[in-house]
Amino acid sequence: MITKRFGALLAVLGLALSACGTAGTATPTAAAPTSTPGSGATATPAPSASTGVTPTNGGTLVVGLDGDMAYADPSLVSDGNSLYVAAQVVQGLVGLKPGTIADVVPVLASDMPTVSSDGKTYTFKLRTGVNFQDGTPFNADAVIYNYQRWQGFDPKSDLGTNDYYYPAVFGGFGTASNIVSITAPDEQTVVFQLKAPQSNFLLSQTLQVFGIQSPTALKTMNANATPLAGNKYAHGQAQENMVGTGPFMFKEWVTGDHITLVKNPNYWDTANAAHLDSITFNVGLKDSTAKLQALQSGSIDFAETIAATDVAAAQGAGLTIVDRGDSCNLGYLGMNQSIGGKATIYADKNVRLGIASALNTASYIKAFYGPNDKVPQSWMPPATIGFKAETLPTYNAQTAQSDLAAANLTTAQKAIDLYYPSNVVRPYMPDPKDLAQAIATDLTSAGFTVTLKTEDWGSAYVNDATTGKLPLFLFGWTCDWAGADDFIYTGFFGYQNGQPNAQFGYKNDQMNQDMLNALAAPTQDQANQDWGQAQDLIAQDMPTVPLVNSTPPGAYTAKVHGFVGAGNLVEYFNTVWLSQ
Amino acid sequence: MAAPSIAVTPPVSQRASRGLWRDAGRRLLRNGPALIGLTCILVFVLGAILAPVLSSYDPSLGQLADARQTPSLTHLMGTDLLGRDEFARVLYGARLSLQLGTISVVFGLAFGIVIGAAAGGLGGKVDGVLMRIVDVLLAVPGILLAIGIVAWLGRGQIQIMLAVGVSYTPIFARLLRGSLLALREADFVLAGRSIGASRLRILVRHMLPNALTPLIVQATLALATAIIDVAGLGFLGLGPGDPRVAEWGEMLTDSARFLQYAPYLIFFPAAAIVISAIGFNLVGDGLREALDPRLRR
Amino acid sequence: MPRYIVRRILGAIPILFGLSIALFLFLHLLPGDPATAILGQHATPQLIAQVRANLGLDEPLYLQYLGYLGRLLHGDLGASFVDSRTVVSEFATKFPATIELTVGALIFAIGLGIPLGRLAGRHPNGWLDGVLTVVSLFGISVPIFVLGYAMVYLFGVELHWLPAVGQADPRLGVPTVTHFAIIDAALTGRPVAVVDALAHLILPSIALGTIPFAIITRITRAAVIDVANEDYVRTARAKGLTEQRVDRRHIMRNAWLPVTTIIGLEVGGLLAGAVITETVFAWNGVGSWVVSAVENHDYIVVQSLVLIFAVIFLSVNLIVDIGYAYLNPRIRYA
Repeated sequence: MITKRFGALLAVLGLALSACGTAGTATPTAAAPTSTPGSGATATPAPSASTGVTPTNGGTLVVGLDGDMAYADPSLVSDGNSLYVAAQVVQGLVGLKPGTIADVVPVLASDMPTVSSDGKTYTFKLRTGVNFQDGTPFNADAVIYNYQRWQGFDPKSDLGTNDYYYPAVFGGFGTASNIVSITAPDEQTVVFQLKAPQSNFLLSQTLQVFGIQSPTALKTMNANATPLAGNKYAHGQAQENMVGTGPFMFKEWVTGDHITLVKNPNYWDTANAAHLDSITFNVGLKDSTAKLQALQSGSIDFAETIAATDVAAAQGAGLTIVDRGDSCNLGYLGMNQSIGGKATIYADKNVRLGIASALNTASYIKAFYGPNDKVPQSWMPPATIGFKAETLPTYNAQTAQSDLAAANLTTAQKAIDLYYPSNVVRPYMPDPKDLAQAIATDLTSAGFTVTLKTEDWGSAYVNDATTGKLPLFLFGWTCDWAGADDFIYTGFFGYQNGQPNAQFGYKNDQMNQDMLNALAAPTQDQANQDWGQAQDLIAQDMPTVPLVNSTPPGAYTAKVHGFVGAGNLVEYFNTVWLSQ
Repeated sequence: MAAPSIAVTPPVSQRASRGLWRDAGRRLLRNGPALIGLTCILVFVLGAILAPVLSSYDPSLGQLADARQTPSLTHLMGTDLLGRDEFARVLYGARLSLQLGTISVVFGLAFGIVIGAAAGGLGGKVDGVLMRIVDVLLAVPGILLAIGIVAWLGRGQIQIMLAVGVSYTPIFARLLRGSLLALREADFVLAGRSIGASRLRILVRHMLPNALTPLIVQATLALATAIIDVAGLGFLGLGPGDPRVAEWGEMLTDSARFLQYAPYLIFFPAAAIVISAIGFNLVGDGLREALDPRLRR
Repeated sequence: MPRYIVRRILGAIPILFGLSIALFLFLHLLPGDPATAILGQHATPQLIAQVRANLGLDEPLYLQYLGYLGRLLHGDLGASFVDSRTVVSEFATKFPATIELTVGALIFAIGLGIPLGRLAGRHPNGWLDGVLTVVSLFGISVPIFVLGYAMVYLFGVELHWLPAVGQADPRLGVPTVTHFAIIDAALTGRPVAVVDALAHLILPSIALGTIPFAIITRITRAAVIDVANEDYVRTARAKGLTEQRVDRRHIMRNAWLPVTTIIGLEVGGLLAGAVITETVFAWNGVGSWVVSAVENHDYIVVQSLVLIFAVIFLSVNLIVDIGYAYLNPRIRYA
């Protein structure tokens, strides 16, 4: 009896072992072709003529999105998933040239606006012959309706609390907004009158949240209903939802499962009309392995992002990796100079410089990131408007030692906590846990005793980091738009209510003034000068250690053609076509 | 009753019984699969204890330059993403995983015995209230309980053990209560009461030792699933404390994404979990058979 | 019997009530704040205060609870703090997927487990018994996500026999009506769609059902062995009944008892497994929903969902107990 059972056990074990052996032989073959970004040459999204193949029309593209949308009304969202879908359906006065992160081009405006010399008046001429997807004509009244709708959100209602971008760009709702008035001298002209000049005005209006929706739909579908639990338009469950002017139309949203868009047969830019019949965005694929396997088996045609560690397997399986060109994010090691009013060891510049030299940043990028990810040269990626390259400390154990010795820390002070988030994947931080461990190893070599601590990203980490409760932590910033203001002013070091950002406790009044000057500068060149000065000061003080400018890799199957990727994940599918 | 008149040679298993546990032990040792199970467990326990002797590598720290090496003579089970030796991590991981699994079950047993003994031994209103609480606990799926406890108390080894332990408590409580309720009518209990022994004394000295048997069996089986439950919690991102310390569940969760390029990183921790779980299962089954009064005939 | 059922239902009410209070207190004592989970990196103290006020989080606890209870009794299970979707509509969207998964897993577990367990029990210690024991031990011991990934890799990626993720292929254009993939496919009247939906169900059912399968196999085997040696079976055989009849009327009828009990207890375990299965196979079910709701401090959603689960669990147990009485005429509920 024993021998019979034993034999069966051995047989099954043997089978299992042999199966594991074969699974390991999938080795990547020669690198598959990557798509090139920015191959479109005209203002509006253009087909990639470089291949010389005639695109075929028709078919459904199945896209694995990183997660579910928050709302179907682009005005109310600030998450990447909602914006990714909205980019196909709504358009604003201006947009970004496909494949770039900072090239502003007119979209619903017929040309770039004329700006008064004091920078307070913007005059836009509107494109003619454009209709919304419900047939309503696009004109100046539609533009004014939309902007006034946002300005009129009640900050106390959940419409107001969910609309992050309008007050972030314009300073507030109602009379607090920097927009004094919007007028229409005629049906094809809109004039914006600002209180004070805003150097980020045009770039910020490229965001999908400022996409113009059909006033008819907004009114009939009761888009302003609050609280939002009863607002069908916001949840994509009304008769018509997300009605814009773009090449795709919203069809349905099964929350947690998928979003379906269909081709807009009456798209105004006939030369750049969509080839696909429809797109299905699968929003349930949160697990990166599931996503890769879905790609490999053909369940999905296109994955918005894949894990950096999966790139080799994807290429080996014949998938094309999306090259997203210029990065629009920054991952960094945050150092907080004061917690609860008391100064920490990070208030000492020697400690900060010593830590910067102790980290072998290049090795982290090689181990945990994709092939296009780079060591930063400033506190924003190189393609950002206003970027200035600085000379940052490189990995040097001796420099680290001497800096830290100058700091004269006691043993107790050298026992530090390093925080990393759990349950999250960010483009600049695809693997927080392993990155934290690698950094801890380097810090240990530099003489510290490191305790690793973690908190759940959504429910605790973000809040604790931004309110200044964490001493040493991994964090990052994905750009809202590729401007210096978005990174070093809004994201990092701009004073809030006259006080340094609690995240870092970094006080440098001159730097803050430089940034304020840059924001109020009437021309971009003047702004860039001020941004440059601010970056010089920051580089001298090293308040945080920039770790990476990353572009998350995406991937698609051999059936997919014509895709143009962009580092800020604003990408258009009207150029995409499917072969059999 | 007529005396048996036929003299029959009693079979070996009917030799003078030297007590429940000695008998059980004897039967267990004769049970082939149970022996296999015991061996498996012993292998891991020994591996855990002798880890520093068996491997010279540091299981917590590694050099990125050594990352993702396939198994070789220098690294018997390869290296992981951070360059740490996998064999060392499996050995040291045995310490933490076995510890987490065992103490979780101990927690569950402790809570379960207290509740079950109070309910079954004292009966009446106490029983009613306690069993309602157990029903409430049972109505909440174990995984939610675990998530809730971790959300409340934060991450850490003790929290994980509490979370998993609490999810086992209802079963143990119910089992013990059931046994105790059955035993209340047993002869030896009535005898005890007739000579005036207090309820508590009867409970502790007479009823509990007999009622604990099914619990022991269930606990052994629970040991198998406890390790897997801890691994499952790790998959959901609720793993215990410091990620540098080796633990099978964490290792498995971290390497799951490497299925296609480094399957050895999944295979070895998975094999460790599976083999130890099988071991506990076999021993538990063997214990159940050994302790089964019907087989004592 | 009817009195027993009524008593059980009445007895369930204090349990549910106690559960809801315990849940409410527990959730509100959790460290962390739903407002920060909602606002993320864009949080400012003013925004947090405004969101908290909008959600009524600053009212005294007892008022919040009474408000919740009042709405609950009117059928309003509340809405998510994070995305404002109502619990009722989300549940209607997501629960069918979990039901499909669970039913598929149970069909696999019971459909394979009972016959195999019976065979093993009829020929104990034979080769089939040995193989089955090993397979069941593996089934209980391998974590679901490892099994899931491995199966998808083998059948989806390497062999291309079965789909890797999801409930159905969106390219088939099946309109979403009931959120049950199989029913929606059947409503289109296209066999291709139905086959596609069924194909998507196979791997997840196996992954989720492996543990119940292993348990049911072993329990059935043990029950069959126990019963096969009982006197009444020997009597039946002695009476000259065919083996088939003995099997069906005597052995299996009694072996069903412990199996039904286990099925009742397994429902809770199935939810735990469903959470992981839904993540690995990207199914839009309630498992992953409830986990993210707890992490986001989405109080109302967690409270309402756990109450719903409790009701389901208690109902399933009631049905199992009634079935138990049907199968075993000696059990009478007063």
